[in-house]
Amino acid sequence: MFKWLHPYAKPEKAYQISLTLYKWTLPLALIGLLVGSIWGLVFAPADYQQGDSFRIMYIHVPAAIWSMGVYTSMGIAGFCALVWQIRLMELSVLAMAPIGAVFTAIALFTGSLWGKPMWGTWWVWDARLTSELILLFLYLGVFALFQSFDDKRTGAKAACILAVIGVINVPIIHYSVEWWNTLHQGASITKFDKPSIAGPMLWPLLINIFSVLVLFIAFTSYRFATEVLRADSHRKWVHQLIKQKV
Amino acid sequence: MSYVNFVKQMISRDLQIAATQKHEFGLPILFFVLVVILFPITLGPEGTQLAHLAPAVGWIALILSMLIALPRMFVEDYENGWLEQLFLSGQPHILIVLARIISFWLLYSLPLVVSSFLLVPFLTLPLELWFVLVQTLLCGSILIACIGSVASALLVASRKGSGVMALLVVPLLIPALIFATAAMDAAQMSLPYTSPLMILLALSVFALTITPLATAQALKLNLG
Amino acid sequence: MVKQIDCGSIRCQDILTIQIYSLLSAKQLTCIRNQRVLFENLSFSVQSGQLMYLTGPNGAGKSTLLRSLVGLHQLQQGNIELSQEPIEDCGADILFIGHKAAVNEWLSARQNIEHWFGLKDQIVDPQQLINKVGLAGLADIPVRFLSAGQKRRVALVRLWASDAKLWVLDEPFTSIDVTGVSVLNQLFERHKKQGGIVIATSHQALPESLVDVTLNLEYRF
Repeated sequence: MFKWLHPYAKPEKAYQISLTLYKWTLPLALIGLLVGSIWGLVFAPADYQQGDSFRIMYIHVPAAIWSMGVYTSMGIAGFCALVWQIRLMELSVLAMAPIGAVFTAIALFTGSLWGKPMWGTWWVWDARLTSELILLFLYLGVFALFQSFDDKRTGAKAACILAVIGVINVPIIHYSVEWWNTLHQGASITKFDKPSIAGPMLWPLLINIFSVLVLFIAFTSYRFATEVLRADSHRKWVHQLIKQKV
Repeated sequence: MSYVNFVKQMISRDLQIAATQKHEFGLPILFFVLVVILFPITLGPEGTQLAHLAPAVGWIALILSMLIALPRMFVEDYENGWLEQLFLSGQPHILIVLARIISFWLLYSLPLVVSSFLLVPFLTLPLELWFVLVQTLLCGSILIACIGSVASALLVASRKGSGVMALLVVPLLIPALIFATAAMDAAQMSLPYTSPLMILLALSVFALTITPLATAQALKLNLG
Repeated sequence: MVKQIDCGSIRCQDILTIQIYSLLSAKQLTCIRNQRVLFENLSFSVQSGQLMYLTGPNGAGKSTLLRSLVGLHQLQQGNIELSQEPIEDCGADILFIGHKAAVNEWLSARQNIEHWFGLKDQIVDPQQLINKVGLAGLADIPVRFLSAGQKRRVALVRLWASDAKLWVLDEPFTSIDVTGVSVLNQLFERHKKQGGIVIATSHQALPESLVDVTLNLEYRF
């Protein structure tokens, strides 16, 4: 089925490709982030209700969206790794996990910063914040599990299993938390209940969302390349590579 | 050998082993009782407040006591080599896991659910609310046993069990907890509580179909 | 690395019970554990009526190889077949006794044996087997009260009543006394005559007449 993928499944090829990908995506992501953030933080008009405090959205929303997105892609990669026994896929799960965890942490942190002027407290059991928090624990679980194995390969496979189980649960958790929240708080302030975001505010947000995705791709390919090297450290091609570099 | 017979045989073996070491199985129940006792002592012995908190206490105590018991789900059979023989027996791996989940539920979860009756005298939980609580605990304990089986299988070879176990299990239990408390809240206000209960049951059945696959994979991984 | 001693093909009259000729073939096995290569491109085959003796120092990967041969351990590379079937599907044809004896310490020898053969869906007389391995009178006390050698005997009871084609034994002689060893050797002989295959590791040398193939694994850095 995936015959055409075969030449790319060689570790040395995958290593080269991911490094190339990193070289191209990192500048793109940085430029995008710079443009989006400056536009959003400086030039976009202030919100008539929230004033300037809404501007943290340009960081918070991309991080929150991709914290879920990264977990989903981790789950898919983990599933492929387990079903088709693809070793490189296991490595990609390991490569993605810390990045996703950092996105989640950023989303939580900025969310609570945003909460302070809006709700008057640092933490509210708002549906989004709560499911972000649970997501952070899911990420931490993947780490902790990987760390508790001596054999890296076994640990990676275990992490894949957990990622798959987690990704099945992410929507259940998300919707149940949302339901729980409406049950207890009624229709209280939610961040996106405003009709829609006006164009001049929306564009920088879209740019930032896209740039964070590209940044994720860049970081993942770099980490992935490193993981491939580490996993194949006993192989000939790595030794040759080292000889070339030194 | 038919699948049903195989499962029966596995369960009867587990019960036989349990019968030789009865004291082991009392410990989670004792732990459950201890957790329950902590609440009146920390919150003060006023009846109405305790009655209001009783369902939450029951659930927290159940989860904590199950976390104590979960690491034992596969560890003994992993260490003495019976598990690898099971995996070589040619029987579907899912059945091995299912049989173990059932016997674990019978040996650990069911006694805990029954001992939740303690909440009636200790936390002045009204009896009719206890009936609702037992229903949520019954559904929930299946879910905990299923999700716990994955975590237990993943960690069967590592010695640093329980901390990581909690980290793996508890986040996945949040939805169950939400629907269980919703059912209890509705019952406390004498509203119909069946729909959250049914969702909880659905979650348990879903877990019962999905998790044995993951658990079997995890065990296979650790046997390799 | 692989030294093969050919013992000639088996003659039909040697096979007492009628068994289908079987062949265990392993091709291009590679195993990497904890970033260390245990063996690479290892190929061999063992056929009906042969005993393969696996030797090598500690840590050379003997146990891992045995676990791979029964399909418990997944190798990085290579395939293992028993009579042209992938080994993972041959569970019922394999008897594997590893370091871990699969004996539950809390149950009695009789209960252990019953569960054992129940798993294989085989009806046996536990008492008779227990007498055969010299544990008469100890059948009903929990195994944890038995000595190490006696426990090992409980585990080895399976050899007496096994109908599996392939025996894979990891250190079967551990804590077994001299008479026990000779009885085990006779059992291997019988299994070979019946067209079975035996693969064993042992730090105690096996009698030369019994060994057909020797495979020596070296410790690799």
